Amino acid sequence: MNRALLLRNPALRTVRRWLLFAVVAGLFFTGLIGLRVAATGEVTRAEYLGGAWVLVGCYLLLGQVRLRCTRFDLSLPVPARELWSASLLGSVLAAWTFLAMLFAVSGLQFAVFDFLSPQRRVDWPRFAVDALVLAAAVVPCVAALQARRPELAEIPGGRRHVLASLPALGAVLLLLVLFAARPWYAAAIALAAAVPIVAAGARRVPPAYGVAPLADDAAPRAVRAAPAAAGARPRALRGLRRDAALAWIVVRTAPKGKGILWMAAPVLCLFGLVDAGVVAALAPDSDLRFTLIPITAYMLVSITGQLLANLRWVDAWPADRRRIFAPITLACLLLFVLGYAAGGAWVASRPSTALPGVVAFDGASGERVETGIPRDRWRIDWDGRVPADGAQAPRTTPVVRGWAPLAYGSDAAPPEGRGPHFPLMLALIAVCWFGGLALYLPRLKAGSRRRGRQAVFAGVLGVLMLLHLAPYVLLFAGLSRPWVWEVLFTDTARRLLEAVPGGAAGMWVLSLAVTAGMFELALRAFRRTESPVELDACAWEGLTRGSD
Amino acid sequence: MNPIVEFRDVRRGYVQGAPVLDGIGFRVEPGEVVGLLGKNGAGKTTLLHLVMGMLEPQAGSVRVFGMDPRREAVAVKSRIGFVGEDQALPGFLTLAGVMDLHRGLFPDWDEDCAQRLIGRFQLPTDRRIGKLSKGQARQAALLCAVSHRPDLLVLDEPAGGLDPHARREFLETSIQLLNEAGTTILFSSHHMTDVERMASRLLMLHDGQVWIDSDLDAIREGYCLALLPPDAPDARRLLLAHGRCLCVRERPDAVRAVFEMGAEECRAALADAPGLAGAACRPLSLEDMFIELVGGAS
Repeated sequence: MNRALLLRNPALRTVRRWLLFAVVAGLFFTGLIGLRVAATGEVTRAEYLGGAWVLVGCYLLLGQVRLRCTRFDLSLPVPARELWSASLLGSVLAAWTFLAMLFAVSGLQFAVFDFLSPQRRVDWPRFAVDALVLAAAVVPCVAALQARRPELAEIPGGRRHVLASLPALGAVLLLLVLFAARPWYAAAIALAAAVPIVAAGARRVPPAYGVAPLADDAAPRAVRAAPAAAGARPRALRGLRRDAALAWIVVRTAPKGKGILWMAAPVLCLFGLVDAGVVAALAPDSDLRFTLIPITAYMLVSITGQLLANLRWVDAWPADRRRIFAPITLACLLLFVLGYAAGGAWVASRPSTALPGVVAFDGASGERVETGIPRDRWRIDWDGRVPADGAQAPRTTPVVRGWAPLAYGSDAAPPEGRGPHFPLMLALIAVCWFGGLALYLPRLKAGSRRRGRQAVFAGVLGVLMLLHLAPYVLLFAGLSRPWVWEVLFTDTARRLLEAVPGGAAGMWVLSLAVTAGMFELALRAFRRTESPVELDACAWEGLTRGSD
Repeated sequence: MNPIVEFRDVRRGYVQGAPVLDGIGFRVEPGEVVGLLGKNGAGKTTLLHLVMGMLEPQAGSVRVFGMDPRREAVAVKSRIGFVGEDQALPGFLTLAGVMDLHRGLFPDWDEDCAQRLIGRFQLPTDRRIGKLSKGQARQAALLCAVSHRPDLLVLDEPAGGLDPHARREFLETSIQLLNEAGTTILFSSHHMTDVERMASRLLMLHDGQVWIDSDLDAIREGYCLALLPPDAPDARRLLLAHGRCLCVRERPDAVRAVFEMGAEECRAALADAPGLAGAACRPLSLEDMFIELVGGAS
């Protein structure tokens, strides 16, 4: 096996971009597993393996597994058989890397669950076996996907590719589900099936790969001549339709634009659902809405930051940058709001669960205590004293101690008096999101070093991810109790809400003003950008600094 | 009359300490057709992108129609037609779709002109740009660039990669449009024949500077090549010592020098110069001049 060919494999070279997807997907997948466990007390192996396989299948479908080699590789004096074997091994390694990241994230979350809930231990041996079974299942699936169009260096993508790939993915899913009780059987069957598939694939490898099919089965339609203009009124895109068309060109032509689109829409809707309190409604001790703001902003920055760097096609047109910036950012926001609205409607439609029990730790003794006070009524004692308890029920005691400031249960502010969540959430997300863009976008200059730009981008994303992960890190380091962070977030958020004069209307006005202000700040940064894409897309980077 | 394009001491680079354009200045007057020449990396694309406001100068000022193309991007770009070097049109759109967008972007869109060019180029409007041949994609880009009747046409390697027939068709269309409307054209090219056919004025960039800025006729008459035997003693130093010698290139067959004067004048001047009396002088074609200057300078 030629190691250099293997390292040049397109799937292997691009898998790091998919690791972000693996992180997010892993977080959500484990979250769903957690909910399932909370609801039924157990998650079956078939559910776990099936769910994980769906995520791996997404990667196999949309990743670069269909690219056998680059055109440069084709020009090398290397037999196609060698290119094929490098491609197969590279694709399997790439899929395993994706799987490893998925399980690493999942494992981390399981470890947190383990720590938080000592009665319900995670079955680590089973976790490891599941990972190995999925790794084995990847092999025949990759081999089967690569069996299509053996004469081409690049298997044509698109809907046809997806449809043709579904049987292989479905067969492996069926295998995993049917043999869930005997996972080693599933792994053995998968590996056994891989042998004939790989052998058949090897037999079909041509002497040399081609770059285009001999007879294009996607035959071009008959070319129509120029339309007869007589009497026909030409159409002009104006106003919002023009702006939408411009934004669509930016998104559609962005590197990996389709992938971003596929990922962005469901993920942003999902974040909207979670931020609306769907998870909190399902598992009453997990009101994570405000703690999810950094990760929501992380997703928004990562999606819009990549799209806004792609000005290549539209930069020469007389279009104000606002016409590009606004549709892209507002479309992302709209996806989030749609998810939020759907989640909010669902939560509102549920019968209210009055005063669910809250699991918390007594900071003094370290023991778990059931406070019996809903978390959204907790307060932090910023002034150093707990007010007198005048409530009939629930009681504010026992006070949860352990780390100043003090957290205590209170029913002084009933839920109906708290005002809407969304305005504050919107303002905080806008600050993180547009603030991040305002820091990153000025780095988009023609000729600026790609690594420098990536460092700034990664820095902005890193800060947001750190804000998200900090509670867990502090938790593992023994510096924080699990409840402190949530209470800190929620209480701070509520204090901000309550400080706004004018009640809900005042909050909305303030929130929209902050959002608009941050939007303008990021837009100002966007106006200063230059399109650096052609320099990056240019394979000559490092040899020459420009296209000229 | 206000210039269409004005550069004053413009500096722009991509790497610190290595400016691609190093304090260049020139003006393009209305109706001029200016050809940009220079070897790869000389800064032609950078200059054109500065005109388009797609790059910001690090020093100096760029004015297009008297405006800053960065600050008043929409006003400037709406009067410019641009065809980039590697930038035709988004491949996933049909030509009809691109034209719909252009009608919305450019208020002065001339539908008759567009239809005439569609007919002339025989362009299929319902086919995706990405499915068109390279020549057709270029023609589609040109159609979109000129159909809003721009005051300035900016072409970056407009005929790059086209076969001679497609290139001729492309250039003839450009020239015809120029004659019709008196459009100012600023274009870069590596094809000297294109430059000779289209341009009335030449800007040659070298080492971040405008090396030659002159009318094409003046270049043909005002420069010549002097040839000395390869074994002529100290030829290089003697030639460079002459005030009007631009560059010297030593080849196995001869020592070649470009002089900023006509062939006759040069012959007379060198006849009196010690050590250079045997020089043969002859007129230069644009292509020869480019090769001599670039080769000699390097």
